[in-house]
Amino acid sequence: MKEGYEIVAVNYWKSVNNEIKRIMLDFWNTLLLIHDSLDFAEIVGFLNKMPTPGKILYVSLTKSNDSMKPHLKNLKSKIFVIDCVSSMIFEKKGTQDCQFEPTPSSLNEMMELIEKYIKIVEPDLVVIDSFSQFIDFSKVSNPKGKELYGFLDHLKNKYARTHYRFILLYDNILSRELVNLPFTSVDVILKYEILTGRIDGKDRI
Amino acid sequence: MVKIMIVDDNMDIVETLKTIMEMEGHVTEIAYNGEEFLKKVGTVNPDLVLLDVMMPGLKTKEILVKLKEKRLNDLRIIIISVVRFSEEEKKVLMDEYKIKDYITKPFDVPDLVSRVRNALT
Repeated sequence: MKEGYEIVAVNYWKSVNNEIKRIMLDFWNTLLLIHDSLDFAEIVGFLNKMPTPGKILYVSLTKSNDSMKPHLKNLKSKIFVIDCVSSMIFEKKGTQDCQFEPTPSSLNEMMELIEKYIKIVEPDLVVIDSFSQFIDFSKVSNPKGKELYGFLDHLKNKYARTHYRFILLYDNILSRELVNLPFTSVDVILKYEILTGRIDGKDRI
Repeated sequence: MVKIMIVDDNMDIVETLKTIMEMEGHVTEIAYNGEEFLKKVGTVNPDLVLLDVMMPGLKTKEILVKLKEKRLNDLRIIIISVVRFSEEEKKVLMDEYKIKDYITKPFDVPDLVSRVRNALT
């Protein structure tokens, strides 16, 4: 260990490729999904692992609805998108499957937004893309920790006995060490890695 | 000497961009939000702006409109952002607001340097 450093967290990661179906079938209310790809196609792949294709309320803070559209045809579930990025630059009108909203500046505003649309859309699953816009789990002390736990506790207290499920996406594209994960405030934490490589055999000796 | 203005609310990103640009021999000026940028841009008179789209305060669109009002709409701007827009949307940005380039985070340093050089030519 480097001088001046001390252990702040020990994380155990288990490969769950074969168990993913069972995990998705288990009862959980909030799932934190850590991923290293901003490619929406990968997220669609994950959402397709949900056991019953229901209705998804997708709150996007990192992708415009237009950029997501080409991949939506591969999604097994119905989806309603709240696009929180396009309004920063474009003026767009909402559709049957998408509404444009200003970017929430805090988790409290995010909660208000979710609750507003839960009533309208009545989804089975709410996806927040991405939690990393609010919280940095790589920092030992998090100034927004209180707000984060308030948000997660509210989800637990209000929705734990309902059919609503929440997937909180967290992109760790810089592969930082995540030393401050909310292990006790979410039901499941999963992490997936995208492995890339050449498939044409050119890198073989 | 080329002056680059970095506009981003994320201090880590600002420091990274500042280091890269200074290693390229450019002078840098920082603004942490749209309001600060608009306040400084007239006096700094940068050759290129590296602008984030997701900052608290003014929306990017408001910043771009205010630049027009200040008759600074010929300013060379590269957007560097975590937000993924479609190719069509990026084209609108380039045509309507004369944005030189759109780079998504995380960026590859040699690619960023090359695109900055392109925008400056």
